[in-house]
Amino acid sequence: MQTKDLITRLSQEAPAKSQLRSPVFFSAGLILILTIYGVGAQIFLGSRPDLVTQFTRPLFIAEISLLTILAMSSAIAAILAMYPDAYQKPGLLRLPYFVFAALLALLFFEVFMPDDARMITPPFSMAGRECSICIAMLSFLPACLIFGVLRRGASVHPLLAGSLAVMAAAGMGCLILRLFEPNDTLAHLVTWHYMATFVFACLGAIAGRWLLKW
Amino acid sequence: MNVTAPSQNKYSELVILLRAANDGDAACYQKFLSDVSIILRRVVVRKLPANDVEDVLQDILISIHKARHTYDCERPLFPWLLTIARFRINDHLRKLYANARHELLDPDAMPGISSDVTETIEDAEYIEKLLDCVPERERKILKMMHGDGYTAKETGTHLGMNESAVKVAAHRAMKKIRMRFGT
Repeated sequence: MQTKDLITRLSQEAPAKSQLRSPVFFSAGLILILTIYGVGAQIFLGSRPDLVTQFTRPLFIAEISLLTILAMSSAIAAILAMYPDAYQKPGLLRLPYFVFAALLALLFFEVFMPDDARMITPPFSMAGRECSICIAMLSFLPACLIFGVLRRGASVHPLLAGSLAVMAAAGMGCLILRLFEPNDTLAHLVTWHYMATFVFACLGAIAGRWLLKW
Repeated sequence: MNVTAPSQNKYSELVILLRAANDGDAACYQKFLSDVSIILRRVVVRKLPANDVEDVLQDILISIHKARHTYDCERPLFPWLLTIARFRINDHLRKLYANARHELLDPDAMPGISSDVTETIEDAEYIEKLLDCVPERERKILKMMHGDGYTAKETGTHLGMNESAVKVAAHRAMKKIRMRFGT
């Protein structure tokens, strides 16, 4: 087919198409839904018995803040990624990875705090995999929702968009679990919470490649 | 990706055309796609071989058609347009490289791979030495049949012998060589 014929055909079959709403609208909506979901899941699961005490520890507050920022920034970045030009703010697409790196750096920093009870490292066990499964279950619905929203756009970074979508959902799952589970062991957190989140994000990238084709 | 940007008037016209197209104006949409295809062809030509240009250009136009609702008319058009173009060009290149990796190599097309074994001096000298122990006529028969690739019939025609005589002579020559060199 000649390019000229294609242009004629495309112009003839083009009905009026309403413009996709701005990323601010989608981001605000998504953050609102994630917050409601998070609060609902937390109420359902309950909270850790020492939550109030933990919130007196600056490092715990920093960790929870970073997790919240990770979930929110990933949600915003995923929404931006559904616009071909990333709404002309491509730098924001990488922000969640920096937040994730900051989170890991914070945990690494805590290794050198001898007074912290979190330094007590129990022997490695596979029992912690329940946490990863729990994060996966908690993040399944939000991830489906975000993928559904992303499919309305036209991402030119399907891998990145998929990874960000899952990172947002898994970040929320991590946050909920962190406020529920009283286990503060660094090795456990790194292995079964944060590395699991990273692996889920990688799987999300693979899913994005197939689900966000257009 | 550098592209010569059209004048400000032309640029504003493109934005107006796309906005009208999104409102359902087919004529404006056709004009928009035609104008844009001229700009995009220049981009694609720089990146791809000439025989792929039209295919990729059409891919880009279809992608613009599918993604036209994602363009915000308040924002610059060209970053949006060129990102889609780059995405499709890279997609095409990825497929091209993937296919190239799985392509079968044709030994005939590779120079030097199927060269004649007698081309090197050492090999040629060795064969000459083998042929020294047989009479001139038999040597000629062996050279024609095993070196030049003639059949027994063609060799016979060339040397004025019948086909079976050529075969017998070739057989005897080979036997002599084997007895002499034990090969």
